[in-house]
Amino acid sequence: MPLIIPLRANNAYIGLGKQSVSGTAVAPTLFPRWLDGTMLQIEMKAEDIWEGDTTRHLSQVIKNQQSVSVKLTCYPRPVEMGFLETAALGVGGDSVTPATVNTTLSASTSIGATAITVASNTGLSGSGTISLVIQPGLGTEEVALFNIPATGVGPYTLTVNSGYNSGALKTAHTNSSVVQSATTHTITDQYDGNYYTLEVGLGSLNGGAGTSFRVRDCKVETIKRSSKAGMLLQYEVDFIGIASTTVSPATVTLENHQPFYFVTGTWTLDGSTSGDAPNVETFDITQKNALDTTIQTEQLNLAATIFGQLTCEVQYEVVFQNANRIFQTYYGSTSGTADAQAIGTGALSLIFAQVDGFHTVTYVVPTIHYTKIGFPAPKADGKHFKLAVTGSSVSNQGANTFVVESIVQNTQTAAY
Amino acid sequence: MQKIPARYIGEHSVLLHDAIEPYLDAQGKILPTRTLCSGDTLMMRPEELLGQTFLHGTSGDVEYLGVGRIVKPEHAHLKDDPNALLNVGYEFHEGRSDFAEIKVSPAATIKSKAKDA
Repeated sequence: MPLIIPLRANNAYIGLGKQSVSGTAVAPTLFPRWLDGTMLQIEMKAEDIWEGDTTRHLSQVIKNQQSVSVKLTCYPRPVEMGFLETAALGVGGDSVTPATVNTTLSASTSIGATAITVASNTGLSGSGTISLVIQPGLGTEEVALFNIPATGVGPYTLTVNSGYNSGALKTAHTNSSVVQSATTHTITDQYDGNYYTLEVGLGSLNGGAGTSFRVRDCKVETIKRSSKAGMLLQYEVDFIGIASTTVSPATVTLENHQPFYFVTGTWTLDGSTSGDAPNVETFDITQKNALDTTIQTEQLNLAATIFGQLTCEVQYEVVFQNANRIFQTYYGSTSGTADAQAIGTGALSLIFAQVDGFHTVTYVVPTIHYTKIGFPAPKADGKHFKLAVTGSSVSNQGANTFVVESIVQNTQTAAY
Repeated sequence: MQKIPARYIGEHSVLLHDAIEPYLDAQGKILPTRTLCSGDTLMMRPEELLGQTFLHGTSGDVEYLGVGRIVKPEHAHLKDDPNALLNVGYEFHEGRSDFAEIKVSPAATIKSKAKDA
C-alpha cells in the first residue's frame, strides 16, 4: 500500500504587502490570522473550440484569460485594519494625524509604578484621562491610562489612572523610552486603488510539500466589515490579482495586538445615540469597488485593473421596539402614516474602542438612503421580533466628498 | 536551505509563527522568544529579504533568475527601462520592507571561520 502524506488544512498562511508600482511584486509584511473562508483561486476563462472537421468531437479548449481571486476572512488587529481599509478605500486615502503626545520617559520605571515622569507636557494639558503607549514596538510595549494634566515644571509627572490595573504599570520601562498617544489614520474612499501582493501558503510551512502562491497586482473588489452581539469585528476582503507565481514559504509574522469586540461599539444612528442605536444585534458595512477586469491586451493576464463604481451598503438588525424605521423608510418620516415619495435618509457613525482606549476604529457613512426594511417576522417560538435595516451610502448629490470613511487609531506612525 | 542575517526594522513587535525549526538570530543562536522587536535579528531566506527575479518566456515557460534584481546580459541595454523589461517578460519581486539585510564584511566572515576552526 503506497504511503500517503496528507497535509493538514491549517498549515496555511496569507500575507499582504503594498506594491510601489504595478508589475513588481513584494514580499508580504502583514500576515493576518485567517479564518475559515479564506482561500485562493486561479480564475481561468476558457473556451471550447468547435471546428468543422466532419466529426462530432470537441477540437480543443483554449484559455482566454487568467486572473486570481483571493478571499481573506479575519478578525483584524489595529495595524492590519488600517492596511486593509487603505487597500479597500484607495490611493492616498490615508491622511495621517501624528500623535499629539510624543515624548520620552525621564526616568526608568519598575513593575507596579503608579506614575511616570516625561520630558514634555505637550498634549498632556486639559483634564481627564489619556491612553498612552510606552515603548511602542518593543517587547515591553505597554498601553496604559493616565490622568491629565501632567503636573510639575519638567520633567512632568503622570499618574496611572486607577482604572488601569488598579493604577499600576504592568511592565518595567527604561529611561528615555518613547511615550506616545495614538496616531490617527483618517481613510476615505478614493478614485482608484493601490496594487498589493498577496501570498497564500497551502501546506507549505514547516517543510510541508504544499505550495506558496504569490499573487501580484491585487486590488480590493469588495470588503465587508461585520460583527454581531458577543463576537469580534470581522473583515471579509475579496481581492482580484493579475498574475501569480510560486515562491518559497514566507516567514510568517503576526501582529501583537488584540482584535476588536462588538461590545465596545458606540453607535450613532441618524445623529442619535438613542432609539435603535443601542439595540443593534448585527451589522455589516459592505463596500464594492466594482473592479474593471476587462483590460486585457496582448497577454493571457490582465494588463491592469481599475476601481469602477463604488457602492457601499449598510445593513443592521435591531431589536424591534417600534415601527419608526418602517415609517421613515416607506412613509416619508418616522411619524408618516401612508406611502410617500421621499426616501428615508439617515447616517451612521460607529466607533469600536479597545479596552485600552488607545486602539480605535470609527466608521462614518455620512448619508444613508434607506432602501429596505426587513419587517419583523411573526414566529411561533415566542422569541423577540427583529427588524432588518438596509441602506445605501450616497454622496447626497455630490455634497459629501466620500461615501465611507474609516478612522483608525493605532501605533503605526507612517501612512499606509 | 541557506539563510542570511537580517534585522527587523518594523514599527511594531510581531510574533513569529509556531515553526518546527527553531528561529535563529544573526549569530546563529536560537531565539529565546517568538516575539520579534525592532532591532532584533533573524536568519531569513535570501529571496524573502532581497527579492527575486523571474523571466517569463513567450511560450508560457518561467525561468527563475535568482535572488535580487537580475537582468540577463542579453537584456543589459534595457536595465534602466522597467517597462521594456516588463515587456520582455521580467517579473521582479521586492524583498520584505520590514527587514533589512545585515551585510557581513568578508573580513568578519574570515575571522568568524577562523574562530570556528
